[in-house]
Formats: sequence, C-alpha cells, structure tokens
Amino acid sequence: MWRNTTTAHVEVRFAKARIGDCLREGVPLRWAFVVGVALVLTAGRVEAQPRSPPADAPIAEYPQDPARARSVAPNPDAARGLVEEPDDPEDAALDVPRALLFVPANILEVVFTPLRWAGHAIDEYRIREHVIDFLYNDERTAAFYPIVLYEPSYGPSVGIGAFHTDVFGHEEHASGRAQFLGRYEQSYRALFAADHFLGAPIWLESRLHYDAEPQVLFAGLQQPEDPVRSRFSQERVFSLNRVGVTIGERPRMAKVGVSAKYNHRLAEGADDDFDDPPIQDVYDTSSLVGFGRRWDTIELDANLVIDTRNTRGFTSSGVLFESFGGGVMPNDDHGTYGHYGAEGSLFIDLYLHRVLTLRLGTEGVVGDERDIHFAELPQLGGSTSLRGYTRGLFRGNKSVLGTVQYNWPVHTYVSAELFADVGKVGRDYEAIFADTPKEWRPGIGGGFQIHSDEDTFLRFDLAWGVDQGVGVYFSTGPLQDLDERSLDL
Amino acid sequence: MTLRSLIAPVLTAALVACGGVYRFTDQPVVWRFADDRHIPEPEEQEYHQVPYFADALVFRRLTRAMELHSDSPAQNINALDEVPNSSWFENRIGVRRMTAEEVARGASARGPAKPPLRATKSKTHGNNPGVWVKDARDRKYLIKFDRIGHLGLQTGAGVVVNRLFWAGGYNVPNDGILHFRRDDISVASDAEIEDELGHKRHMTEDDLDALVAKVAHTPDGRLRAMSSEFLEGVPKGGFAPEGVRKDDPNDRIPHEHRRELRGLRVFSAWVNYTDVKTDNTLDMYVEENGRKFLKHYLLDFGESLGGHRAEWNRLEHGHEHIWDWEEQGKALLGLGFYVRRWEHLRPTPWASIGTFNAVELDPPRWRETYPFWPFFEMTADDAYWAAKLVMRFDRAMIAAAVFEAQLPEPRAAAYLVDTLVERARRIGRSYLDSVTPLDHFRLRDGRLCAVDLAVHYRLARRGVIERLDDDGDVIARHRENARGLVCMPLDGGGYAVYRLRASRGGEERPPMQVHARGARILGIVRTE
Repeated sequence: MWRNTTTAHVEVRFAKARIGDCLREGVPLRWAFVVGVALVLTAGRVEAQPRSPPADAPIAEYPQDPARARSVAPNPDAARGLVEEPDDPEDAALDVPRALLFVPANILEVVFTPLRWAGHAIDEYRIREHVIDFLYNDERTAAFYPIVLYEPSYGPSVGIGAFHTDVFGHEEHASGRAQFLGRYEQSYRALFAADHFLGAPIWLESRLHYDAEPQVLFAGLQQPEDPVRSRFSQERVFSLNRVGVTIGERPRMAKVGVSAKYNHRLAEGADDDFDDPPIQDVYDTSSLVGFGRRWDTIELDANLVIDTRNTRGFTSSGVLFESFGGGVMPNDDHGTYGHYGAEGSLFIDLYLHRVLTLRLGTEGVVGDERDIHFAELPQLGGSTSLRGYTRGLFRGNKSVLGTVQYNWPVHTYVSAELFADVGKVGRDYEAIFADTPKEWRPGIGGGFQIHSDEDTFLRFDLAWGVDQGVGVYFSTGPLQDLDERSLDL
Repeated sequence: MTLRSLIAPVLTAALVACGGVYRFTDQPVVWRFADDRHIPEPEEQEYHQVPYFADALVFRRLTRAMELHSDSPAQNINALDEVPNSSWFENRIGVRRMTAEEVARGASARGPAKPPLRATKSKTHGNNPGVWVKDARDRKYLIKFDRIGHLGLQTGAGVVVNRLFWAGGYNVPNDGILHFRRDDISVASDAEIEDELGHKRHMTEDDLDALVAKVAHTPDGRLRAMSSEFLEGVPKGGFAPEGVRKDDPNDRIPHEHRRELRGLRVFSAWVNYTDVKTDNTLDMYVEENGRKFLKHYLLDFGESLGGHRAEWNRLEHGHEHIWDWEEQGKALLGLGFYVRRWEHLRPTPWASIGTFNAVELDPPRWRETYPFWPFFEMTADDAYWAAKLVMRFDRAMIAAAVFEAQLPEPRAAAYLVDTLVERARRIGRSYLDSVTPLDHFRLRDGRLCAVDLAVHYRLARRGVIERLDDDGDVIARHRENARGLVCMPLDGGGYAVYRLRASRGGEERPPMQVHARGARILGIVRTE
C-alpha cells in the first residue's frame, strides 16, 4: 500500500489526513481549507530543519553481498581484528575491590538460590493463580483471606476473613471475619454495607460483633498525670443497624442517616500473665462504672458524612467529614446520656501529589458519669487516632484529636508520610483546653502507605509518644475512620 | 550512581594517561558471524516471571553491583566498530539508504492476517488477551486487540515500533493492522481456550463473544486488531539478559556484551519501549540453507510510545525501573522536594497514542521498567552506534512506519511523527555529540575524509577536527564544512594511526582513532 517514498509525499498525505480530521470534527470548511493549504505548503519544509542522513552509503566497506563477506565464528572479540590493545587502568584498579567483594557476592548467590527455586515453583505450578482461585470467586468480587496482624502491646493475632464487594450488583459490601490471639481471645464480626443499595440512593449498614478480649489496656480515666498501665478482660456483643440517604456519587457524596446500636458488655479483671498488671491490682475497680457486671446499652444516633475525596487510596484533595450524635436509652442499670463525635479531614494537594492533611476531631459523652460504662468513654491511642500511644491508653468523657500529616509519593503504589498527632482527653472541654499544654499528648513519626487509587492496603508508621518511646503502628485502613473507631471501643 | 562509579575514579586517577596503543590486523573486515551453524535442537527455555523479576529488581541487581563491572567494549563488533550480521541482527538502515516503502513493509510482504479467520486458541486471562488464528491463506497469526477506551493504542504502538526496529536491524515478526467484523472470525472445531490455572477446554463461539465484548471497537462496529504472524521454526523460549545459552553452541558472546542488545537501550529510549524483558524475546529454531540453528527475535511492542502509561497511569515508565533504588530512594529522602521529570507528564488528547512527548526525553536518564543487563553495560561507543542508526531514520521513514499503524486519529499520527523525529534528535544530541562523531570515512584523492555526524544533523556547531600525536598534542587542525565534511591528508603508505578529536568553540570531544594502511582503513576506535 505504500507507494510514495519522498518526504514531501508523506507530508502531503498527513496534510490530507489532517484536513479530513478537521472536517469530521466539525471545523468550518474554510478553516479546514486554510489549515490544509498551509500544511501542504509547509510540508516539505518541515523536513528541511533536521537534515537527512548523508547521501552516500555510510560504510564504504560494506559488501554488496554480505553473505559472501568474510565471516568468523562468534567468539568474543573475533571480529574486532585487534592484535594489540591497551590495558584498561580502570578495570585493573577494580581488581582488588572485586576480590574483596567476591566472597560476599557468592554468599548472597547461595542465599538467593533457594529463593529463586521457590520463585520457579510459584510460576511453574501457578501457585499464585491457584491461591487466588481458591480464595476468590470466579468474578473476583468475593474472597476469603487470612489475617495476620501485630498490634503493639497486644502482640500478634491471626484469623480468617471473607468479603464480597458486589453482593447485589451495586457495590454492596458484605464481609465477615474471625480473629484469635493477640488482642482477641475470640472475635467474630459480620458486616453488610451499601452506599447505593440496589442502585437506589439508600445508605444501609448492618453489623454484628462478638469480641472476647483478655487484655484490654486501661491506664486511668480523664488522663491522669501519671497513668499506670493495667489490663482488664472484656466480652462484648455489639450490633448496629443504619439506614439513610446517599446524595451524589463519589467523589462528591454525602450521606445522612440514623442508626441504632446495641451493646452488651462484661468487663472483668484480667489474668496475671500479661505485660501489665491486672486492673484489680492497680485500680479500685468498684469506682469504675459497669465493671464486673453485664451492661447493656441501646444508642440511637443521627449520622452525617460528607466525602469529596478525589480517591480513597492516596487521597490528594477533598474533604472527609464524619459525624454522629444521639443518646443512649435508659434501662435498669443506667439512665440516659448523650454521645456524639465529629471529625473532619482536609486534603490539600500542595504540588504534584505532595499532600498536606489536616485533621480535627472530637468525641464526647454527656450525662451523669454513673450512667456511663467506663469502657464506653471516648478513647485515644493507636494507629488511627493518636499514634505514639497504645490503643486505649487515654479514656475520658471528652476527647480532642488533631493531626497534621504530610504525604509524598515514592512509588506509584507507595507514599511516605511524616505526621504529628496531638490529643487529649478530659472530663470536659474546659479541662482539656485549660492552660496545661504539657498535658496534651503529641505523637510524631513517619512511615509508609501502600495503596491503590481506590484503597489503602497497609499503613506502617513509626511513632514516638511522650514516655512511650518509639512504637510500630500497622493499619490496613485509612487514618480517617472515626465511625469505625467509635464502634470499636 | 553505581558502586563501580564510586570506587573506580579514586583508584584510577593516578593511572589514566592518554590514549593507549591499539593495532589492527590487515585483513578484510568481518561482516558476518557464522552463528548459523547447524546445532542439535535445543530444549525450550521456560520463562518464569517471579524469579526473573526477583533477579532484575533485587537478587542479581545486588550481586551484579558487587561484581564491579567496568566499561568493557562490546564483544561482537568488527574492526570498523560496526556490528556484523548474525542470527541476532542484520544491518539494514545502518549500511544503506532505505526507502520509506521498505520501512512500511517491514519484516514480511505478506502483510496482516486476511479474514475470514478461524480461532484456534485463546486464553481467558491477561490484561490484553489474544487469539491464535488461521487466516484465509491458512497462515497462523496471533491477533491482539486494544482495551476499551484506547482504540489503536497498543495495536498501533506495536506496529510502529515493529517497523522501526526491523529497519534498525533487529529480527521481529510480521506484525500488521487489520480490521474485521465479528462475522469474519469463527471458532475452529479443535480450538482450545486456557484459563489462568492452565486448564484447557474446547473453545466456543460464546468464548469468542466474551472476548470481543471486552475489547475496543471502531465507531462503525468493526474490530481492530494487530496480527503477528507465527515465526518460522520451532519456538525455544526467550533469551536471557546475560550470559549465553548453554544448549546453543553458536551462542558464544555473552548477551550483555552484544552491541545490538546494549544499543537497544537507545532504540528503546527513542520509542519508550520500556517492557523489554526475556518474556518479550523469542529464540526460534529455524532451518536455512540446510542448517538448523537459533534465530533471536524481539516481540510485543504494544506498551511502547507511552501506551502503558496511558492505560495504567504508570507515568514513570521510561524514567524509573519498577523498583528503582536510586530514583525512589531519592524521592523518599527528598521529602517531596525531589520532583521527578515524569511527574509533569500529561496525556495527549488522543486515545490512540499514549502519554508520549519529546520534551520528557533525556536519553542517558531513560530507564526500562525491568532492569535489562545489556543496557547497564552500554558504553559511549555502543550508544553512538545505536544513535547513529536512529538518526538515519528520516521523517519519511518514520511517517511510513506510523502510517502502517493506521491510527484512527490522523492528528495523533501527525503528532507521533513529529514526536519521534524530535526524540531522535534528542538521542542524537546526547550520544553523537558526546564523542568525536566522525563517520562515513572515505579515502579519496589521497585524503582521508569523514563526516562529522553531529554537525551534519545540525546537532552541534561547526568546529575543527584536531589531529593529535601520541602525547595528545595537536599536530594539525582541519575545518569542517557546513555539512560536517572534513578531509585531511593521508600519511605515507605504512601503518598509520589518526588520532582525531572534534573541537567546537573550545569544547573538545574525546579523541577517536582511525587506523589505516595506505589507502585502506583497517580499524576504528571510537573512544580510546
């Protein structure tokens, strides 16, 4: 099909193509004509800038029939025809360092060899594909997955989870998990959630949890000046049902709804075999509301979520605001009290995905302290609230949390972060904001996020807190997760 | 920055002197490697992705660094510093004036598959699934499609780069574009389909429908595909990025020391062919002139020209290895203040070409996605050789290659030609003007003449060519003309060494050597 070999012909063909393109795209005919004529007239001249290769054959010695030319066996340097070649001083200079590195390099080769074999086996037997096929359904929308987690002060835990990301075809999410060891003796959780249930703007959420935790951290209430760490055990059944309306679609979405939470809790003394002493050895447990007896609450809340994040993985712009507020119904054990929380995060793209995140949040209970179970009080500490401090280290009637975080891209799927969290709990806001700056607890550190556009897979932070040293904080979710935290007290 | 680059200068500072002594044999120049000798049929080498990537990114990367490789010259070059023909490479554009028609035709005049097609094999997995077919002439092809929303992207890039690489001298398959309707393809009675677990079953028309539903269609409802004709011979797997193939007695030059593989880095930078890896190469056990031997091919260029960037938003392709200890290390330690060139990249307005422009290209800093060891071994000589070939593609040839892609957006095609022309010039500026780029040597009228390619291509200012003695002192200066031509008197009839250096407004390039006996050039040393 190619018949024109000159530059000018090629250019004219392009010019014609451009005219056709203009016409198809509705550019007025006269403009198409003008542009076309200009292109045709300049076609040959474009070539005049870069000069063509020299006209004569580049290599005078290249034979007419190379097959009949002199040939040699393909040995290194056989064709070069050098009878004398100078030594390479740089190469010679490297002989000693090479000799020094020879042994460690070969030790590494020995170490790597079985790893290569393992890699071969993974490919040869399609282990990765078999694992995925075993864990996932055919549509790759549902899977089982193993859980291996490590939480500072709680140790490792293991378990198994399952999820389905598209139960009814509109990204309805269902999941369940069972987890053991570490923080949990046993934990079973089930969730169904949808922002657009069956495609309608209906926000639905339903949860059911059972947790048996043998070593929950307790270090006093209302942020004592010199907290003493202790452990208590807790058995808890929790359920939540939420219904609401979703307005808009990602990345501009708001959700308004109401929820009912049921909490059944039994907090008791811990065994003596953890890092920290049992609570009963340290604190007067009779002063802790609800300690040692079964405690039920039913809480009714209103919920509002505004989410304008551009993506949920490595967010670089937008706002996430989550809030809830409501009250706990009275029963034989306790009277009514209020419970609320609000947290807002602002994501600012400073420059090419260098993102500054500002977060401010608060949570509080309002009512007679004798009606409020001590474990229901807002908490600070852990990988999603106050990094640098163990989860649950601070408990009080009110909590305030602020974060300044800076993320920058390292790899398409990895961003690094530096952050400073600061938080405080207290009996009331007056106590929190009293002129006692040293009681604010800062946590500073840095780490990584591994993410896709749509999700954060893993966060790994090293954080320092006052009197805490440096701790490691893992999380498989985003930093901003007030709702999840408030359910997980 | 390599371990070697840190150590070597310190140790060699006191040792380096002026150019050393080379001497060439007085024999005809070798233009062919006899690596087509009959060999027993080798085993097929299977490609294993996990260990390959582990080596490329971590294991071998580390141990190679500890081996402190020096800048060793390529081992398959002849006395003129050129690459003789072999089962790897055939001199085309480097030794003769090619026509645009030749470039457009590429590896074979048979062209793309001719419908009606019969599907014989397919797979259910992969990002860009293909179908093995037999065409109306009963010839076997692999056909590949574009992803929805990217009509012309991979298929177009595949054909453009296929033509350019073929003209450059590499062995590539017969790839071409075809358009056809769903009715033009049916499932052969013995067709099989394979899932990701390797399970095979009989392929049905429903399987074909499912595949067709996942690919881009033209506005008039046709399918656009790139067909790649099955290569002659028996496939024996891809070639390794270093060492030799042990079951091929003809393969005696370590691959990392083959100039055409080192120089492939320059070609790859030109077209942003980042996906170079063993899996995209193929050794075929072929029979020619009664001899059976292995012939070495490059395959699958669909992710070039920024295609992969556009499809997967992987803008760093061409700028960083997938795990790039240096660049990503700098990014980490730079706290975000280190801005990488690719971060400014923006897609072109056309779906049929990727995120691809000329301004982004800094050839020495270009990087393939998975470290490919011959690229690490590339010397200034290798880069010059490859850049010289790239610069021989004039606009008409490039346009011919682009036209073969039949891009659905003509303005995209014009943009692509402009971009490839400008990227070639950037390559020329980087690699031709970093050495003394004298070429096209001729002995005429008792004078030694040559062309300064950097001046000829208007990449550098006109200067003088200085002749140096053994001590590096200038003994003569010869002015170049506007087209870079320079001539100088010949020495007597004995063995003569011309140490020549380009000097442009006081800036000197490293000297080169031309060895001659009387009126015959015996050898060239590009950099001493």
